[in-house]
Amino acid sequence: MAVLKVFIIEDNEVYAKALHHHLSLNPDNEVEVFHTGKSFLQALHTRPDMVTLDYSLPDTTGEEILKKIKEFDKEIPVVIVSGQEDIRTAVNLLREGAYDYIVKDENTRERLWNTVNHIRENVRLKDEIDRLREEVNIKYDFSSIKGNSEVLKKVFRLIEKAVMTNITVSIYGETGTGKEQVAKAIHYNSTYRKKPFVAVNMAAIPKDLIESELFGYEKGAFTGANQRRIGKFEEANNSTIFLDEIGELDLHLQAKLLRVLQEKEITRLGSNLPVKVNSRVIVATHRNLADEVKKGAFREDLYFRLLGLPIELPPLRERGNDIIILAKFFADEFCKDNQLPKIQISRAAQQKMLKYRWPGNVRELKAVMELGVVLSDDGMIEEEQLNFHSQDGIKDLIFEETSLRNYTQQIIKYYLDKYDHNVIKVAEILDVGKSTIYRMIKNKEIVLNAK
Amino acid sequence: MEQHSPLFDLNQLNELAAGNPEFVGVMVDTFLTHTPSQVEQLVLSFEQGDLKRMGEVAHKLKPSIDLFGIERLQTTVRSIEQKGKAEHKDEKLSLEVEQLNSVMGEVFSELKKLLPK
Repeated sequence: MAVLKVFIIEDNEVYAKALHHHLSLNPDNEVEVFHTGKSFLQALHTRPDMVTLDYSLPDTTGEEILKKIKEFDKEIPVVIVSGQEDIRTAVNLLREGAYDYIVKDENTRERLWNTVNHIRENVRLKDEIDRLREEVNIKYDFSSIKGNSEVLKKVFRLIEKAVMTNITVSIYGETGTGKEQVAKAIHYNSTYRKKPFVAVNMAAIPKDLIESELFGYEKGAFTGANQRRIGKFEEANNSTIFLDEIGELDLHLQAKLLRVLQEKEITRLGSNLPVKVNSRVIVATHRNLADEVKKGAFREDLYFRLLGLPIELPPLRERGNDIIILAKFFADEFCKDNQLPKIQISRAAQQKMLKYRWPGNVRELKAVMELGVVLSDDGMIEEEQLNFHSQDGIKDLIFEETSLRNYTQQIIKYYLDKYDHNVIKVAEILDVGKSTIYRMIKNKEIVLNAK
Repeated sequence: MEQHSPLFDLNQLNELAAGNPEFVGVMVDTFLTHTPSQVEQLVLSFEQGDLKRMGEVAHKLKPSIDLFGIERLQTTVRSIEQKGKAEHKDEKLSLEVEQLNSVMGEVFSELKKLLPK
C-alpha cells in the first residue's frame, strides 16, 4: 500500500525525536513531528492518516486537539501517547473518539508499533473496500471480447493459457480492438485477481513524467517533489501491471524498463535503494514491434523480453458475424441503461455493418450503435441510421491488398446484394455493361448470396 | 542505595537505534539542547512557589529521564510531579528538587564528553 502519513504531537523534543525515529524504522511510514498544538493545527489540512497525541501540551490540551481533529475528519485515528493521566481523562478521551491510549513507559514502543500496524491494516482494508466498490461499479466489458468467430476463439484459448502462469503477455491489435479488456480478463482470472490491476498508458503520459510515474520518487528528487511517491511498478507488486502503447516508449526509457524486468527491482528517482518488485507484466501496442525493431525504434533485447506469450487481437472486420452479435449487445446495453424498449437491427443495416471496414473497431461499433439507437424510430435501427465516423476517404475503400479485378468483383457483388440481384439496375449505377456482370456470374467470379 | 546505580544508561536508546549509528548521538544532542532549560525552569518555579508549573515541567521531563535511563531520578521526578499537581509542599520536596538539579547537572557534563568535539 501507499505511505502511511503519521503526525506526532509531542512537546518533549527528546521524546518526540525518539518516537519519530522509531516509527520511521518502517520506511512506509512518513512521520512528521509537531511540538505545539498550534503548529499541528496549521498542518492538519494536509490530512494525516493517523495522529499520535501527547495529552499535556504547552498551548492547549490533548482533548482540544482531539476535538479539532474529529471535527476535521472523524475517520483519522488518534492515538494518545501520554504520561499516566487520571482514569477519568483517559476514559473521556476514548469516549471522544481516541483510537487508543498508550502510557509512556518501557512498553510504549512495542504497543505503539502494534497500534500503528493495526491502523495501517485498517487503512489498507478501507482502500481495498473502496477499490472493490469501484470495481463492482465499473461494468467489465468482457462483452467487448465476446463473439463466436474462430479468430476470437483462438484469442480465448490463449487467454486461458496465459492465466495459468505469470508469463509476460504481449497483446497486439488495432486501436479499439479491446487490448485492455484482454489484459483485464487475464488479470481477473489469474492468481493476482484480488490485487489491483494497474494500467499505465505510455502514450497518455508526457515523456518527462513516465519515469517518475513508473518508478516513483523520493521527496526532493526534483523541484516539486515535496513528498515521496510510489510508482506504478511498486503499486503493482504481486499483481499485474499493464503497459499500454508500449511502442511509444522512447529508447532511453526502454533501457530502464529492460533493467527493471531483468533485475525485478526498481529504484525510485532520487534514491539509491533498490526495491524488489514482483509483477506480472502485460504489454499492448497497435504497432508491429518487430518492424519497430528493424527500424531501430525499439530495442531488440526488450522486444524479446516482452514477447512472452503474444496474443494477436483480430480487427473487428475480420470477426465476421461477431459484428452483429456485438452490435446487438451494445444496442441492448444502451437501451437498458436508458430505460428504452428493446430494439431490432434491420437486415439492411446488418449488411451495411458487415461490409464496413471498422477502422475504430469495437470502440467505433459501440459509438455507432448508441447513435443508431438514439436516431431510430419504432424500435428498429435502419441502414441510414448507422453513421460511420471514419474519415479516411479512399483508405476506407481499400480494406485489403488485392487486385483491381478482385475489387471490381467485390463491388459488383455488393451492389447486386443490395439491389436484390437486379443486374440491370446495378449495371446502370456502376456504368458497366450488363453482359460483363452476367459473364462474371456465369464464370462464378461472383457468387451471389441466396435471396 | 540509589547512589550506586550508574548515572545513566543508554541501552534503551541503543536498542531503539535499531542499527542506526547516528541515532544515539542525535538523541544526546537533542537532550543537551532542550533539557537543561527545563531543569532550570523546574528549579525556578519551585523557588517562586509555583508548584503547579513545577509539576508540569516535571511531567514533561519524565519521559526524557526514562529514555536516558537516569534511574536515580525516576522516583524523584514522579514524586515532584505528583506534589506539583496536588500543589502540596512537604519537607522532602526541597531535597528532591535539589537532587534532581544536581544529578541532572552531572548527567549533562558526562553526556557532553560523549559528543565529538
